Amino acid sequence: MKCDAKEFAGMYGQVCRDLYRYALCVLKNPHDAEDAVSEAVLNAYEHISSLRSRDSFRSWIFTILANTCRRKLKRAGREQSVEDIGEVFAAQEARRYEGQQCDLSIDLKHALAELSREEQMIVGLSVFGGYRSREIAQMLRMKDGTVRSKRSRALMKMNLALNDTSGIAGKGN
Amino acid sequence: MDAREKGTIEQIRLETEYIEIPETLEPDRIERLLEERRREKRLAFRKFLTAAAAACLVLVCTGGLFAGLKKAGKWAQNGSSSDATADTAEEPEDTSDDGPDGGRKNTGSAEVYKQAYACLMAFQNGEGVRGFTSDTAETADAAMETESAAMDTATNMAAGDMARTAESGGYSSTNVRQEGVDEADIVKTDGRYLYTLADDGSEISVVDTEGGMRRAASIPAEKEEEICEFYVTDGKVVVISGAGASPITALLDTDLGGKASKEQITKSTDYTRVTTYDVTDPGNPTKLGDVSQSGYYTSSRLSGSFVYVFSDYSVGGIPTPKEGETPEPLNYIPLVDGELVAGDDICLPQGDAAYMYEIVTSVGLGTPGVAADSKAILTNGGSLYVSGQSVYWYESDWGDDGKSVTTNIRKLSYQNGRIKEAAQGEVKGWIEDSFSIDEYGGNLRVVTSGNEANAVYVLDSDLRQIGAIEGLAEDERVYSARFMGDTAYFVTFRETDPLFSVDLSDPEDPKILGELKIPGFSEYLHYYGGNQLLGIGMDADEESGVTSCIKLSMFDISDNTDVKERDKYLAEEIYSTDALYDYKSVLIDPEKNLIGFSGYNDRGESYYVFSYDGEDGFTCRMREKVNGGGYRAARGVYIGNILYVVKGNVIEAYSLTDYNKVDDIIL
Repeated sequence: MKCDAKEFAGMYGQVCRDLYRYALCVLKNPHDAEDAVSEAVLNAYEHISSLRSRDSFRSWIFTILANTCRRKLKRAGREQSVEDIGEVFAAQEARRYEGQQCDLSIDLKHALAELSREEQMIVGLSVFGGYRSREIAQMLRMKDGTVRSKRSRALMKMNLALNDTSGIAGKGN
Repeated sequence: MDAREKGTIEQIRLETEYIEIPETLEPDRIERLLEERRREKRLAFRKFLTAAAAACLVLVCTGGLFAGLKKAGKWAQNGSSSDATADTAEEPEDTSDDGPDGGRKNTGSAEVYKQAYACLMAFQNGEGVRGFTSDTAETADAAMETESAAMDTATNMAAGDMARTAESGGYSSTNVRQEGVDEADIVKTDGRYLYTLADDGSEISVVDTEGGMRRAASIPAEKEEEICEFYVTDGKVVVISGAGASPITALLDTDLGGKASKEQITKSTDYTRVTTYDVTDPGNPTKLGDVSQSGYYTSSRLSGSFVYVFSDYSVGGIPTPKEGETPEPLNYIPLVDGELVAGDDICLPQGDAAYMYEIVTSVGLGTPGVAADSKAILTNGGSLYVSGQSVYWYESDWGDDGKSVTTNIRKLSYQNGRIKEAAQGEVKGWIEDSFSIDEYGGNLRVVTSGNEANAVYVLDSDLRQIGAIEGLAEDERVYSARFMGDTAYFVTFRETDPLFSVDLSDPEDPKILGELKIPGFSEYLHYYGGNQLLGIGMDADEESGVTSCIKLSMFDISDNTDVKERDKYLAEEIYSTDALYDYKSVLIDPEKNLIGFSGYNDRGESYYVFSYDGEDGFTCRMREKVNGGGYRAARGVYIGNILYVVKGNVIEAYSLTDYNKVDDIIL
């Protein structure tokens, strides 16, 4: 299909929060998530002609974002993990997002840290994309059964971590 | 998804509800950004066109000389790369290069390319994604089949696990699906040196274990690439690496990709590279050669002296060619070694739409710089099973209503690096994993799950159905399976765990032999010598079916009409293990009486070793915290009497006598 920047931005507006939250859960910091979403958006806009209909915009751009995040993770793995960014830089980052609620809660960060990257993507797509296992399987090019088992295991870990009464997260329920 | 899983999803949603997007991502900011981009791009494109003008001139000349070549499979490259232009201009007789065979091949390519293009465009335009017809078998290669059948018995014995241990002396090798066919992994040993992949894929460390661990060398990934897995065989390390698209994609989008070098073209999409190193001196690995192919790495096998490498290459966003122009093959045909895959090597689907290729390339250990053969299967995504002589690519069609699942199976024969399209068939239901599909005596046996029930099918070498049992275990699905000669064992699950045994000695009349119901289910089955079958799975509540912890089961299969669960062990602290999903992460050695895998408990990841005997049942011999970090599961490898637990950049060594830690190293 064809569409101009305005129309595209309209469709994007419907999904942007879920896109950003997904990227945040997978990449773990606002800066990288912001980067990934804007990269995916530019990429999507350039290839808008391959989108078949407005109805599939959501799953189409989610697939693009999922791949963008995956690439970023690969690159990050090579360079240095995000936790290792110097303190000065981290402070700058914090200032940049000051006054905005752009980051994950500590609890959720700890819980996500329990998951493998793949599990994070699967959980992210389930929560923010609202996808079923078969759709996730297609997006991540995995087997349906594999997605189901991985999701189940990941959610079990998340559940344990989020409702852990002894750990740092200390939420209790 | 069960209620608890749904609850967890809801909880995560609530925990992120408050998160707002940064200002830069607000829709109006994005709109402005997109408008700017469009303007910039137009400018850049104009510059690019001017720079390309000179090259275009050459193109026109070549086009005139080689009008006849345009039909040929590789016309796109011959016609558009300036190197090729110079060569061919001097030798106009090149048009008939490959002799009669080459000619046929070339005409074939144009036709096949056309069909491939039609399939891909059909998908892109959203037409007829569903449905392959059920016609079977086109080009079965009879000679190869006969040979295959003879080899079967030798390579397909599940009991061969025993042999492996003896054969390889005192060290372990990767747990594989098919005896005799090696699989790549992230940790390997040759009996003295350990080869381990860094968690980020940046290098393979070579660690000498003699007299304590010492790092002897490193095999780094190529720039921009990430190492996925590797083999260690016969003084060589075969490294499989890959990388995502580089910015040159943008260039290809303009349809002028021909001026890029082969290397650049390959790198314009996801690609996979097989690099062979000589490690006769492990301290000094020397590169021997490499072969690249389009698509990102999915899997590989080492059989005989050839490595077979599989990659997924998705094709999307094919630009529509201008009026009267042939579509540019570079936009929709995969590359192997920088060359377009010839039409003859493209396996077209039964259906009329597809979005990707599964590419398989063979590389000889002795000829690491060239692809010995390759095939590209045009498909809608699927999974892989490789027997001793065939590759099976199976893909499920979930139907429009999601109720009538069928699985299409495509078979390629392979031998000494040659790969041939052999047959195509179909079964009802879906295939859980590669343990549910098995080649034996020239036939293919498959256990499937459907929406309502499960089934066992036997297909002949042309993938025509010759035997079946349908309607098994209604409302359950297959969790694991293991074929052992003429008997199949499989586990279905809803609340309790029936382990079925099936007699396949008469392929045309398979019979259910026995059924054993126990709580929980086994996700992975492994022959444990004698009359024993080991199951690794989850324990579950008989009432609710809710899983609780990891469960080991030892089945007595001495009477396959009456299989018994002789012993079980509930590892209450382990809530999950990679052993359930990734058989390569398991170390099982009946001869050494060793069952090793890493498991997750509330303190993180620990490595567990169990032993088993008929008297005492399962005994947990070792439980040690895995101290390395990373997202790949830990591996256990033994050399002699030492167990090495490898995770990320940490290797920890334990004595297999008293399970005390004897050494460690941080790489």
